[in-house]
Amino acid sequence: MKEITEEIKTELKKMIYEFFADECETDINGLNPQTNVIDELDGDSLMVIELIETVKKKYDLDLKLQTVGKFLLKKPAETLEEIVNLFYMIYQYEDDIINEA
Amino acid sequence: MGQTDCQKKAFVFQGVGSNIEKTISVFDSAQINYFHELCEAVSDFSGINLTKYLYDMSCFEGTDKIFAEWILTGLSDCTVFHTCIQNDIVPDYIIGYSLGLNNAIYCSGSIHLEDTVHILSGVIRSIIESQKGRLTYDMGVIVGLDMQTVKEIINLYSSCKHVMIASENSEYCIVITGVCNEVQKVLGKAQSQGALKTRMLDVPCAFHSNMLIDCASYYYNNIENIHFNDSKIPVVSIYDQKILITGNEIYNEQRRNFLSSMKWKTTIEYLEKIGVNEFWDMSTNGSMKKSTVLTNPDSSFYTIKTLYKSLNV
Repeated sequence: MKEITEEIKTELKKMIYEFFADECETDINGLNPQTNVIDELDGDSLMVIELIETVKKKYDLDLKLQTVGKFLLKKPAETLEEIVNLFYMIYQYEDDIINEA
Repeated sequence: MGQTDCQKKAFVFQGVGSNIEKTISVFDSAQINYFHELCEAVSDFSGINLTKYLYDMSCFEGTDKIFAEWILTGLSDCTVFHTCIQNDIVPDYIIGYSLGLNNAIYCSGSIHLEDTVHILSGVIRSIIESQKGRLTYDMGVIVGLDMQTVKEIINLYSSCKHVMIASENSEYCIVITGVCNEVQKVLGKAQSQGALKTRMLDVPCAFHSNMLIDCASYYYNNIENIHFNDSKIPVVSIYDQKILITGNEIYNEQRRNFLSSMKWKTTIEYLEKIGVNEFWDMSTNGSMKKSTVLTNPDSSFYTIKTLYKSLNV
């Protein structure tokens, strides 16, 4: 497991909030941890894929998309808080995230 | 969103499946008026009272309901197109996803509004014919697996005779079509193999596959009766990425738009290659923006919300 610093956490959270505000054409100030990306923002799994690809590239992570799919089957993430936590885990565990489900 | 010479625009028309109430809820009063004008015109020559349906969506059932929903989705796209043109946002190219082709070529002046209804009517009659058989059909979408993996799942757990690829929307978004329970089976396997999401599309037909070939004559017959004019806006084929302008070229694209597998990803990549960097989603719910992946960092998707923001509405 890789350490995740507070700085990285803040960076990831900011990236995720900005991404959904932009993609869903909504005001970032209206977003909060309980915001449901699917129900309230009309977001979808394709957006999550784009975010995964961006984060993979930015942090040079070794991660297969299918691993995240299997992880999400056991631990679904729909609110922003759940999605942010998912990305903390992706950063820390990369492809081993499946063992943490 | 500026109007400089180096920016090329493509208008992207959605297929079917949107919630019509949600779709038109974003329209302002002028757009609602325009939308209702189109509805009344279509009601006059189709015999389907769309205005009544908008007020009471339980008034139609079965294929009548499907027919009304699909027409209204198209008219919504035409309303967005009209709004864009009124605001001097003019496309260099247009493309239509599946049945969205009808609305795209109506907006480009190739066919009349009445013809779009005629084409849809042929589709509906083909559906009715296909439902007479012993098999039921549907389509499904798989998000998170690539085309090769989906093909492997089909070959392992079903058969390419029963489930086919309807469209590679993007690298990780594949639409399949075929026999209902076989499509369901493939979706289930895809989910267990790591797809982020799978969903039946609840379409009563195996569109974009040759499984429809025995009942496609209604569709083809209706097209034969339509005169296709040259398109005022170049249409890009979602099957071979050729630029279509003449009436004959549009007619041939329309013929392919029933049994053939769509190459959406390739078409988007082609548009980016020829310099398109503004993609305008004619749906009001961002459905084309969501199901399309742009690979050029300089490309962006724009929606009616973008337009409202620029106009400070």
